[in-house]
Amino acid sequence: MEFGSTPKRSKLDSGHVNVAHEDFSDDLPFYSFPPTGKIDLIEVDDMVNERLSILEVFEELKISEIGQSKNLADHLGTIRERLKQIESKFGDNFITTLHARTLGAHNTLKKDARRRDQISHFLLRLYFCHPQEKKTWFVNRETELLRYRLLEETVGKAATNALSGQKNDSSVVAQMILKNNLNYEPIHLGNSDYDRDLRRKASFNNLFVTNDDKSPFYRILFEDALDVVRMRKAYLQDGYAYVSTHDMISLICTKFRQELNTALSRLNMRRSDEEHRLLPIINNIYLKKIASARKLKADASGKLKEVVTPDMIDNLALEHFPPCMESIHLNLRKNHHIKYGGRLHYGLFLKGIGLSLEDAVKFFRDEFIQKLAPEKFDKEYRYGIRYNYGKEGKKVDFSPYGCEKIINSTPGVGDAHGCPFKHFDWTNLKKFLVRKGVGDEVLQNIESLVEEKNYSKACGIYFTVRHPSHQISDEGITHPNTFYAESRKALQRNPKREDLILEDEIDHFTGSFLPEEETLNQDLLKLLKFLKLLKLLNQWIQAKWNRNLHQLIQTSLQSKNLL
Amino acid sequence: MGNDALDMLPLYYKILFPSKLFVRWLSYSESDETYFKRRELSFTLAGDIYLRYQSFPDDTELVKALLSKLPVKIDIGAVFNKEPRDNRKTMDVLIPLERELIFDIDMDDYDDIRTCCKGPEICKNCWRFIVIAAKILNAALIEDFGFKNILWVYSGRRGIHGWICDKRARRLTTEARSAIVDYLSLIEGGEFKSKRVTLPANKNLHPSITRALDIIEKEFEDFMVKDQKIFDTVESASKIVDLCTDPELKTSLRNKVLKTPHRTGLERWKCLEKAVELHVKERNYTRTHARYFLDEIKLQLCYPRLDVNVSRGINHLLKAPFCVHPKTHRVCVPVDIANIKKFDPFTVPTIDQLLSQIDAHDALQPEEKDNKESYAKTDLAQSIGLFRKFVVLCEKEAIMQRSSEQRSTESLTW
Repeated sequence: MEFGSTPKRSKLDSGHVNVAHEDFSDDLPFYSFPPTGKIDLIEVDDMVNERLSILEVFEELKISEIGQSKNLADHLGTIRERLKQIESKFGDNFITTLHARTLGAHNTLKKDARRRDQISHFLLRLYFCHPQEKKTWFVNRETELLRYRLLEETVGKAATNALSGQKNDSSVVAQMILKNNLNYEPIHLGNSDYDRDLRRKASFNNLFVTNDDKSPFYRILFEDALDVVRMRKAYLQDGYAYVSTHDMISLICTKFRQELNTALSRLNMRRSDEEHRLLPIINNIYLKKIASARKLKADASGKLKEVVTPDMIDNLALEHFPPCMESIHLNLRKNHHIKYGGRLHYGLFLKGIGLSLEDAVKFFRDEFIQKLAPEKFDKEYRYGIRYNYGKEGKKVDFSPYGCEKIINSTPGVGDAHGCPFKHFDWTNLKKFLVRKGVGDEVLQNIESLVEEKNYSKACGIYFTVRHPSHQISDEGITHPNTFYAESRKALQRNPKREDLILEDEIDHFTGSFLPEEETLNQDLLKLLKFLKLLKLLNQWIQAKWNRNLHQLIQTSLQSKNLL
Repeated sequence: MGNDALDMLPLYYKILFPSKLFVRWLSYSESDETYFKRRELSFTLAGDIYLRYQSFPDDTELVKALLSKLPVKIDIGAVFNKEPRDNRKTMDVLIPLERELIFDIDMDDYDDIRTCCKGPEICKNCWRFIVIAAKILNAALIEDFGFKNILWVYSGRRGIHGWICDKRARRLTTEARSAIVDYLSLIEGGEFKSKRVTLPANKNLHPSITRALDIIEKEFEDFMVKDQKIFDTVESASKIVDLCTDPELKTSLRNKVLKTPHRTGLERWKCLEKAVELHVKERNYTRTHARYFLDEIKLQLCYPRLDVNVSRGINHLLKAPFCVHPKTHRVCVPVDIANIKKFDPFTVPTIDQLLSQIDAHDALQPEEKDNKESYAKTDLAQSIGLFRKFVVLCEKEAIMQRSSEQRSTESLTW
């Protein structure tokens, strides 16, 4: 097959793919130019398999998520171990081979690994350029892979070098920038007062700057360095960001992501060439490897084909909602209003559990108009709800936000959304958890998880307290709708809990409505009321029979209370 | 808007509203003559009727529309790919292409910390929050991002709007705006978080945060401690002490700062300052979470609180300068950022005052009645002067840019 941009295709006997010209000199390619030449179809199969296995590792272990935390080296270590376990028909998989420090640059094993790296990348491009969903998956994983490889070459190497006393080598990044025409030029700061001041400011991130530290900075228009600007990682002056070599990695990755995206869109227009040849092969492997694993996950986050109506929400919130959604709900009930972020997160969540658009409008409207004029609601808020359901604006049927997005959101003053495990103060979180029946020991457990910033795990522990006998995945909760679905399942599978509450409720029934009581099934409630009435009636008849006036008054009072 | 003010609007739009200058501003001397025509203006009419996607070829048409529709509020939107008012005439979709980078600081967001007023009320005292916020933002936008043409406009009641008009700013993508907003946002955490600023103790502060602290430093004692009285009662002081995340320091602060009821707020603050400094020093600075505790307090109380959604979108509407605020009747005048300390929102002229100033002037100097611009007879003169200076500044940028582009193409053809 032709990887290049020339539209003409060479005539082929079946069974062969053309890969002629090879320049596999790069351990860390930017994949700007596709290779050309011939390869075996069997090799295609093996290569696709190998790369998909590698990309799959990054589905779970995302580097970009851990940000700047100290555990970066550990995290890289975990990925390294996972990658080593990946088997390949070619012996060691190409990443492991390429990072093997013992092999010289011209080693044949290395050469072969480079070749596999390049070809498999371009093979997958073909498959993943359409539709959007697949494209996003591929671009994200490939970017993560590149990030890992760059970090491995700098941070990873620095760690091993520190042990052996070698100097840190950041030239990989410099080379990458140079070789791929990335147009970022390093500036070298001299000894003038101005330069020294600039160096001091630009290296604010580094606590101990020595005067002989001469590692270069890159001077980049801030528009081209958005990631480091956003995170306040670089010093900005007069419209330029001064980016350290280390932070250049995230810039390179952003650039890579953009270029890959454009390349895929361009490729999409010509992919029909391969419709009956390569694509079916790749599709088969993809379905076996990735899709099946993901389907399991999707089932867990379960689109329950269930209808939820506004009157059910209070009960569901207390019993089945994850803390993030329950707190938004309580906030909404208390203030009769939630701000934009809350409406977005909560609205989409409710959509996910089966609240219809009409009901969603009704639900929010009934609450909001307690504080503002109905016309104002219709004018200002209805649109947003309809937008969530894909009826306005972009008309996209949005999916509920996952934990990643919620954890990374930045609620401002007065906002009710966010991940309680991250965005609540410990005292408020504790109050919330205690109210939900979390005991001291577990509280401590959760507190330390929160300190480690392991919010998903903390939420998972909370889930286990709510449903002790229900198993969830080890990583904890990763989607609020998964929490909800699992919670529903847990109750269906293990109705004992309900019995307990029921017993309890019967004793307290004449009291005021406690929140827990609302967890009762509506029908059961009716039945209970009926039974209670019968009992009272029975008492009343007995009382009348005894002509005990005192008791008569008492019971009738009681019954009034009930009705 | 009350009926009286509504009655005055026709006259205001006719003789006071600087429509020529307004159109000149939004045209930015762009070589593309359709630039202003493609700009969305949106009107709010009495009775909360919104008219979106208005656009005008020039100032005459604009004034005509203002006089016939009498909007109580004018909003400025984006520059689109075609004239927004023609939206339905052609099939192609309306796409927002450019707009100024905008910031909205509103007293609303300070309600949990200001002690002087609540709700829509403001006083000279709490206005200082806005002043500090605008100063910090202005410095960052100029020094860090290299922007030059920034217009600050009083929002008419209790806030301020920033318009960053450089060509580079107008062309920013949504992602870039988002990144800028994140760079400038320090206060985070919603309803359930009382500690809203956390600085990483194992790092030096970002230079832009250091600069913000320098600005806050100058005012903190006088403003927060003396005027806002945040340490005057044990109750309010304990709210601050409770922000401390280091349990050991927190206990010691409770003992030192809170257990002595008969102290002035300033004494309490000084005591807290000393105690924290000592604690941090003893632990060699980096070995404690409390390293930046004092800075965190200052930032939490005084760092700008942005309405981030306004700045992020390219298509967000923001009230135009020289609107008349429907409730206060005050004109949304530009603010001279260099002298923002002297700006007093309570002396901003109302529409009522302006019109009577014209009458008074005409009575006093009848010879000038017909040969002097109306605004020049009023307190609006200074504001319009400021606005004109700004418009000229923007136009200069465009001309300079064009001539430098020309030079570079000329040298290429050589």
